[in-house]
Amino acid sequence: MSPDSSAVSTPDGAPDAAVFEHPFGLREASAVLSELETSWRSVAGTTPIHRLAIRIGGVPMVFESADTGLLDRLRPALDHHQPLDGDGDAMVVRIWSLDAPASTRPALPPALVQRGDGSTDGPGGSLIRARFDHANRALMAWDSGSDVAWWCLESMDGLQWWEEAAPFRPLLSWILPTHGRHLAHCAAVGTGDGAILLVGPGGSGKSTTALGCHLDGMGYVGDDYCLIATDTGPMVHSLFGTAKVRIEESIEAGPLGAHMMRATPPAGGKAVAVVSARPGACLVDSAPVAVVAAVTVGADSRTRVHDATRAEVLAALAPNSLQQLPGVTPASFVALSQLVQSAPVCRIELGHDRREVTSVIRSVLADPTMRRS
Amino acid sequence: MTVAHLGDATPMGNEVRLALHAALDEPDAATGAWNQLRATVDLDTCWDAGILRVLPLVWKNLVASGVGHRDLARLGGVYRRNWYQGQHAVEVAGMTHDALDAAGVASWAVGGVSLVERCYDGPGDRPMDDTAFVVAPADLERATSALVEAHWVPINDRRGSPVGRFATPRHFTLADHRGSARVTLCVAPNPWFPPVSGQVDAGTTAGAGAAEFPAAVRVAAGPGGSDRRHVTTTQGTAVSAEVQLMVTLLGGPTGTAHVGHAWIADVVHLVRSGMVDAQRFTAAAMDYGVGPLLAPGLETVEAEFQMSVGEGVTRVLRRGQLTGRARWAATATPPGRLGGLAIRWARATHNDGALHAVGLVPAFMAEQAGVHGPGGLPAEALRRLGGFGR
Repeated sequence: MSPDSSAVSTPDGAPDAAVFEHPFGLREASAVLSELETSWRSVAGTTPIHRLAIRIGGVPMVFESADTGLLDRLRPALDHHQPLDGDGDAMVVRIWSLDAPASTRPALPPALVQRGDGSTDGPGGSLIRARFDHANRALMAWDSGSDVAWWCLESMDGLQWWEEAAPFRPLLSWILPTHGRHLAHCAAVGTGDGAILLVGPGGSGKSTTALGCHLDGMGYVGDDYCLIATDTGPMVHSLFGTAKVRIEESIEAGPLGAHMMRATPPAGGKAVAVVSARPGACLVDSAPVAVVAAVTVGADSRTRVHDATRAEVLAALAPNSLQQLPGVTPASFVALSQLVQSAPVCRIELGHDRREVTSVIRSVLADPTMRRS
Repeated sequence: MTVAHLGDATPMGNEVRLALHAALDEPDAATGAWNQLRATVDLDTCWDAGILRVLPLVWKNLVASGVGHRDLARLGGVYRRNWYQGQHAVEVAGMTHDALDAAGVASWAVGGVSLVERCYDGPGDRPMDDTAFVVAPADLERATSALVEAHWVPINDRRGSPVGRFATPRHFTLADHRGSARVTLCVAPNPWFPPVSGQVDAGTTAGAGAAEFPAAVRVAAGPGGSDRRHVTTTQGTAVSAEVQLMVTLLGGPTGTAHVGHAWIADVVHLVRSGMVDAQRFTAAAMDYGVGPLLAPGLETVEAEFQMSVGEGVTRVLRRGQLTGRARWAATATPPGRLGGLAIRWARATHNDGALHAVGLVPAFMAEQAGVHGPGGLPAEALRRLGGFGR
């Protein structure tokens, strides 16, 4: 497979060629899938299977775990999604850790360990992808021709805090685009009638703003990663029901203190609050995108709204969305571009006064096309 | 003439030559060239644009060679960033085209976007710094207003300056607030060429002279106008690859201080694409009166990369006559105080630096073309060009 592909016409439901994944031999890729399946069977045959069956952005997914402890740590971020009635067309993600006594360790191809990922064309026009996540020490793979994906963790002790806050991002970034849902690095707040997307690089104030708005009574879609779709107009879907925040900065811990994933944030990390667990929390599952705002931290207490070009809003949205995820395709970029071209855009300079930020966000949502300074 | 000779006249040494081979040769040979280069070059301290701009192509060759090279991860990151920037440039081209189209202004994308569309595998392969569009002179102000309406900010509007008041703008550059993108509107793709006329659409040929707009591409709207993934060539640009080669051979060496010798990669891709017809290429060069200025660079690239536009093409180019405009550009501006005034005038009238406005060429090109100006290149031009000339 060529490392690049500019031809992006993608048949419905078929995965686009990944741009950055390393070429992989079919035999090597098939061996990874086989090893994972064997390991899963070794665990599943001796342990009860626990399930989380939900719709993510309308896409039916079932997470099956042979390790209740593992699922318990990862499910809070996903528990807010609508439960699935039947498993009919659901995509199944099988997750387990090698802590389980009966588990067999899947062999890792050295090239996969060295390069981190690999993809190859599978039989019947599918795309087989595999990835070894060095931080979590997790091996994952998916043949797009199959409705089963695999996610094997070496040890629960190696699970990183951000994986609990936003689990399975690589797998979801493979699977969901085949259903027209793309992961976007953005926050979103609003109502089911319309949401504002807050975009910008890390540190630009997305999470703090989204959480602040939520605490001030606005509906919460997400603080870091959301799903976007453009097939029926610009839409944003909730992905994770968590929020990552440095509490000491600007958000008072009180309302969220009881809903932190950990008592104390990890060194150098952020605290993770399970927003969906707050009593009375208003979570928005899906909403039309009313406006896309590139946010930056301002110099004083005032919050200002400015006009912006679509190019600069795209530049604020796309880099992190695309560069933090594996398996990015030209179609991913096109989806982000279509999003900023199909909704009003603006630039918001965030002031230090949280209440004013919320007030301005509300006013922008109320009149997204208003001319500004 | 060899690359080594080119290196004598321009600051290209063996390291840049190795980088170009690592980018443009077959994977195994390319890997060998890269290993030679890495024996002497530390990427942490390398600032040569000619090397840096071809790193995405080097990465593709290293991947294709199938060896686990120590630079794979680093160059992969370079490619990934470049891929994003290239995608962004193509999308910005689409947005700009839409804005101009909505204002009733016909426009054609030029430069990196058109080159990538025409002869590279994808937008990650070649750095693109901005998006340039050519519009008819009568449309320039209206096109600029349309982009201002879309919240772009002109950054080189000198119409209010003492000199600029008396000049006709040929060129506007607009930027967004983040500095993430720039759009250039101009009336000609190169200062060597006259502005496009009002008749710049379909049916142009190499012999159409001033009416022709070379190397044009447009961003086609797909069904419903929402699909901008494909940049397609404009109708009536049957000769555009030839004229694009001409523009690259003129503009590449001229702008070496900015892109280094990466223009050679553009020439190689254009020639290898098989889209350049030798007869049309020489005809276009003769029409524009720049044949002798094209020959040195083309000879160099053909010899170094074992390829040819066509039998005897460079010989024909060398025998061609320079037009007055090309001769003026090649001889550069007068030296001393007069030259300084000329450059200031050029900046004001063209909304651009002297480099583009005057259309200076490296001394070696002028010499190869048999053109010797009054006093050679002015000191300021030499400084801007980073040591060109002798």
